[in-house]
Order: sequence, then C-alpha cells, then structure tokens
Amino acid sequence: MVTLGAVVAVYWLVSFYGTALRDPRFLDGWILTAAMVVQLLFHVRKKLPASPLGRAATWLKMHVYLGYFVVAVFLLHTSYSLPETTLEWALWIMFVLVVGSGLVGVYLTSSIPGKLQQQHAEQMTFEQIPTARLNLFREVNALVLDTVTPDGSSEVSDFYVNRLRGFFRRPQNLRAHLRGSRRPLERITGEIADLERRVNAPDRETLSSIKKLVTAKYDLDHQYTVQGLLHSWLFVHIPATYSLIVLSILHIAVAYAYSSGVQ
Amino acid sequence: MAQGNRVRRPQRWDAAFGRERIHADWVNLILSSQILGDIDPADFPDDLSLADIITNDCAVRWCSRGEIVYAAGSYQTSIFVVLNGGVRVSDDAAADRAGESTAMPQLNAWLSPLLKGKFGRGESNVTRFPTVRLGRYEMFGEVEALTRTPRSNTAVADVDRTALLEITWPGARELLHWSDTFRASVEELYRARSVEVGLKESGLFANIDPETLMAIAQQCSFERHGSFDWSHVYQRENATRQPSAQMIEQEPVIIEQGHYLEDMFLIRAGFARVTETVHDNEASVGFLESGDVFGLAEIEEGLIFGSHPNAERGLRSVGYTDLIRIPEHIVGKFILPGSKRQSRGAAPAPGHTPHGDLSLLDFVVDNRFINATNAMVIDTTRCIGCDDCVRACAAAHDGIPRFVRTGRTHANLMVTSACMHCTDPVCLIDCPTGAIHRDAFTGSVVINDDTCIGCATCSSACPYNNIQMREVTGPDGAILIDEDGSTHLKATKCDLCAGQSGGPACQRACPHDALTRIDIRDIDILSDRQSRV
Repeated sequence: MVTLGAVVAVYWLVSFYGTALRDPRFLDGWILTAAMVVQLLFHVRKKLPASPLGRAATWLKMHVYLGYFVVAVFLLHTSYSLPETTLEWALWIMFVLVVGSGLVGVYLTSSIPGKLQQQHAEQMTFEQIPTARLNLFREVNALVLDTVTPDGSSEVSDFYVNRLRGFFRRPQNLRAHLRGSRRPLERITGEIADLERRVNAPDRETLSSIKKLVTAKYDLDHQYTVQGLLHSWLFVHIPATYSLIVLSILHIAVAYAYSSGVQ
Repeated sequence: MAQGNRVRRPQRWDAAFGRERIHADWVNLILSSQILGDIDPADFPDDLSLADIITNDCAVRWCSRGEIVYAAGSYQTSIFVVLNGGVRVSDDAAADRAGESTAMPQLNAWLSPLLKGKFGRGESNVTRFPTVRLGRYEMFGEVEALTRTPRSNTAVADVDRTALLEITWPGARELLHWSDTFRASVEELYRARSVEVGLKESGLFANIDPETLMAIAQQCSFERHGSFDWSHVYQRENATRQPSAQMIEQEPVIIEQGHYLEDMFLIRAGFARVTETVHDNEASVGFLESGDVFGLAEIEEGLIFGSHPNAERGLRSVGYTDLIRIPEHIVGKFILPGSKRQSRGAAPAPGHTPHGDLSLLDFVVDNRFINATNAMVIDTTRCIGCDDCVRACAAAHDGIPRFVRTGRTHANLMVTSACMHCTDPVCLIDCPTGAIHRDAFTGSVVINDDTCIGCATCSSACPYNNIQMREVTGPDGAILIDEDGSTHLKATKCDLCAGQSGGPACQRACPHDALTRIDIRDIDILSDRQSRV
C-alpha cells in the first residue's frame, strides 16, 4: 500500500511539475536515481553483515518494495515507450535485466526452500554436497570392488564402469532436475533391475545396495542443482546492477549536456 | 602459513581469583578453625592441597555495612562463608509479591563498591522485607552454586568490616569432590534451604506469613531424581540416536501414571517429562521446569470428591530433577483456597505443552533442547543457504565464525550447532579456572579468553557439541605452539555477540527472517515458528 501510495504521489507530482513548464523527466529521473541509490544501500548492508544497521530482513523487504516503486517510476520516466538511442537501449536493457533477475530472485527464494524441505528429509548445505558426493562415490566403489574376484563374474563391475562411474563422480542430469523429472533415475534403476535377473545371489544383494546409493546420489544432485539455481540469479542481478550504475551516470551527464530542464 | 611461535601453556592457577592471593595467615586461620566445618586437609591429594585451593580459588572480601554481596537475579556462582561480622539475606520473593523489580538490587550490586562510603547505605529490599541474619562461620549462596541458577535473594553486609570468604565455583567443586564432610554439610544446607526458598519463590504461598511458611517448609520434603552431572549419560544415549519411547524408558521415574499421588510436586531445579501411557505406549505430553507443579488438579479433585488422588499422567526426570513434595493436607489448606477450580475430568497436562504437534515436544525433550534459553533456530523453508549469518558471525569475531550452520532438524526447524546458553549449563561444572561462566547480568554463557587454559573440559562436557577448540594466533598471525610442541588451543563458542550493539549479528544478518534466537522453554514460540507461513 505504501508503495502504491508513493507511486500515485510521484505521478501527481510529475504532472504538477509539468504544468510549471519544466521538463518532468528531470524530476522523475532524479526520483528514480534517488530510489536506486537507496536500493544500493541494501548491498552495503550485506557487505557489513555484523553492523548495527538494522535487520537485513527489513532491508530486503524495503529493497523489494522499493523495486516495485522503481519500475513504476521508470515507466513514467520512459513515457511507456521503447528507447531511441543506443545509450538509452543499453540503459533500458540493463534495467530490464536487473528488474527481471530481481523478480526471478524473489520467486526462487520464496518458493525453492519450501519445496526442498518437502522433497528431502535430510537437507544439506551447498558446501556439504561435494563431500557427500565423494562419500557416496567411495561407498559404491568399495561395494563394486568386493564383487571382483579372480574367478567371479565381471557383470556388476562392467556395468558400474560403463554406466555408473560417471554418474557417481560428478553432478548429472541437471536439466532433468530443473524440470523436477525423475526419468533418468527410473532409467538407471530399471537397468539395474534388468541386471539383477542375470546375476548370482551375492551380486544381486550388491546391486540392491547400489540401487539405494543411486537414489541417494540422484537426490543429492537434485539438491545441488536446485540450491545452485537459488544463487544463480545473483550472477545476472549484481553485474547488471553495476553496469546500470555506470550507464545511469552517463545518461545523467548526457541529459544535462543537452538540456537545462526547462521546456 | 606463518611459523608457529612457542609460548608457555597457561596453567590453572596462573591468575589468582582475588586481586591478590589469600595471605598465608588467613589460610592458616581457615585451616585451623571450623570455618569450613570438619574439613580434613588429609583428604586432598598432594598436587591439589586444601591450602592451595584456599589460596588460589578463594578470596577474602571486606564489606562495609549495606554493601551488596550479591543481588537477586544476578548470575554468580560463588559460595560464601562469614568470617567476621554478619550478612542479611533478603526474602526477594516477598519483594516480587509486592510487585517490586529485582533490577534495582542488581544495579546496586554493581554500584555498591563504587558508592561505598560516599552516599551512605544503598537501600535495597533487605531494608524493607523480611530478612535472615547470618553470623560467623555460616555459609550461604550454595543453592545457586550447585544448581547453576540465578541468585534467588540479595545478600547485604550487616555491619562494617564484615569479612567473607568467597569460594569460587572451581574451588567449591574441588572441596565438594575431595571432602566428604564438606559435601555432606553443603548438601544438608542445600536440601533445607531449597525447600524454604522454593516455597517462597513459587508464589503458591503468596499470602502466608513467614512463620507459617517455615512450619509448612518443615512438613515438605526434598527429593532429587537423576544426577547433576547428566551430560555424559545423555551423550552416551544421544550417540545411539534412540527413538523417543526408548529414551523415555531410560529416564528415572518420579511417579507412574495411575499411581497414588500423596503429595503435590513443586519442581525446584532441572526438568521433568510429563507422559501419558496409552496401550502400553508411554509418550510425552509436556515438560516441567523450575517453578512448575505436578499433581495439583488430581489432589484438588480427590479432596473435593473424597477420592484417592491418582496421577493422571506419569512424570520422569530429564537429566536431573530437584523437587519439593508438598503434602496433600498442605495443598488443601493453603494452596487450593486461592486457586481456581477446574472442571471434573482430565485436566490439561501441567507445565509446557505445545498447542499443536506433539512430535515437536518429543524433538525438544529428547534432544534436551528444553535447556536452551537462546537457541539458534533456522526455518529451512525460508533459508536459502546464503551464509550471511555465518559471515556476520565471522565479522563479529575476528574472522572466525562460532557456529556451524547444521544441526538436528524437525519438520522445517533446524536447531543449529550454536551455543544455546542453557538454563543448566553443564559445560561450567568442570572448568578448572572458571573461565567459562555466566554473565552476571544477562546469564549468557561466555568464556574469558585470558583465563581459559585450553583444557577442552567444557568442550567435551557440552551435551550438544557446541563448543569448539581453536588454535590461538599471535599478533603476527602465526599459530601459537606450547612448550611441548602441541598447538595452543582455546575454547570458543557463541557469545551472543557480547559487547556489540544490536544483539546477535547472525539474527540481524539473515535477509529472509529464517534465523532466530529462541528460548525453547517457551515451546509455543517454536510451535508458531513451525507453522508460520
């Protein structure tokens, strides 16, 4: 409501300013700049995590709501039209990138943690996942090595080398995880089930254990992919913000070079 | 990495407790008199003599009349013996009943030494509420020292040049450990005073005069279930991650469901689990802490309907439980007339019961999180793993975070591996120097780096593994090495960002409001946090 009120107030102020034969884009431009500077203060708060500058949660709320306000003022500033010059296009694209990535961030950070919590009884931090992956790799290696005897069959170890080693060594099926699909897992467990029919009893037991590890690894990859996605939007949002700052300064300089603000 | 610098490993008595070590004349006087009862120096080992303990772990404190020795509500764990003069101990429960805050005596306690002799006598509850006078060789302060609880009363010097022997907790622990006679006399005092203080503090006898209350106290009895030193037993149980039913089975029974309830129980210290047995399955329905009562509804119903009161629920000790048994006739005569009658039938479970999910109760009781006054709880449906909390902690503590963002989880709540600033901080018990202690005002558990000798006793005693031993670096950044070549270590843990404005940095830094510090004893807050959208 506060955001909406502020937007209405700015629209009224700008139209009022226009009647005084001044270029209203100078007014809404400066309001836009001021709002963007306040937006940047959230970044400063994040860089000073232990500072007594209030709760980061309050800062984030302000950052998001002020973001909506900035979008409204930006539309007003651009007169709801597409840019004409190269600089304006660059500025426009950066703004859209910052806002778009920010909105994606808001959606991802509010939806993913809850879904992850529902899907995984035991959640891991992003930093713990590589270690857990390595542990699974070692565990499966040890299981397979136990099946290798001088006179024994090599079916389990062959299957492991050809089909599973790569799966266990690094994150796999990232696109499937992004879609929330379990098809790759079903395919691998299906192949293991096929092999189970052709091997002796001890190997069947080993395959059953491997199947559990495959499921564990698949779940781990899911956590890795989704948690990675949770942070990925920042790789667009932050560089685009820095570019936007530079272009905005340039834009202000150019605007004052060609106009004094009087219509 | 920089080359390690060799330093002398700090020893237990490098720093004396008092400004100066106790003079030998005093030590001789204490040893030759009855100041510490019939304590026998021969009971102590050669490398830990009674004289050494008195010299290093005790101090003689001189007080002028009106000077506050300790204030009610403050966290201070020394035991005192009057050497000369006298002390008045106030009935701060009376002050509470009169609606007076105990904050002023705390402030007075700090200001008292500064104001001594300048502005006359500091006024405190001692001058306006019933007091008990303690004279020569009488001991006081042992209840809080043993239970690690805040002071329940205010002690003030009664005459000028009052001399007190202050025995710090490390010293008292050694005396209790090596001397059977000292232990017996302290235990006897503790039991007697626990009943009296417990009844006063409970508020159940708010309008009873002191003489009648003394008579009531004599008819009540004190009981202990479990052990003060419960952490090692818990660590063993915890290592095997037993299911709740199995953990309940191992806890000492205070009373079984359906058994005759001849007394009401008033919890004095520690915790107890309230259980209900349905189809031979005993499950938690609540927990009790200091000040809570058990059996009031049953005794009330029994007296009104002329039936034998039977426990509607079971009660088991969690860790240790000190309780006061208040006989049925006392309940009927003094407590029930002032209480509101409940309808006949099953009364709600006493104590702390969550308004929703009982498995949450199992989670907090089984993991002993009920001990937490300031646990770090993360809502995993909000946490995006940005690690801003860890960075904030590191920024507030010379670049080294004091917690790990992992821990036991129930539904969407994760209790992380950060010091919980326990109600009963067992990590304090065996610290040889008293370096790990409670802040006198806030009660938070903090470590004094100057007196920590890196023995890791606290770290191994913490039931939750929330104290880490870390290498110490010199001014040049090089890790310090002891004379024997081992790394110089000190204990570190969350100190709630003591000394920094704004409270714990971790909580302030969380942008998604996922991390919060919670007093888990208020289980409804946790329950709300769990069901928060």
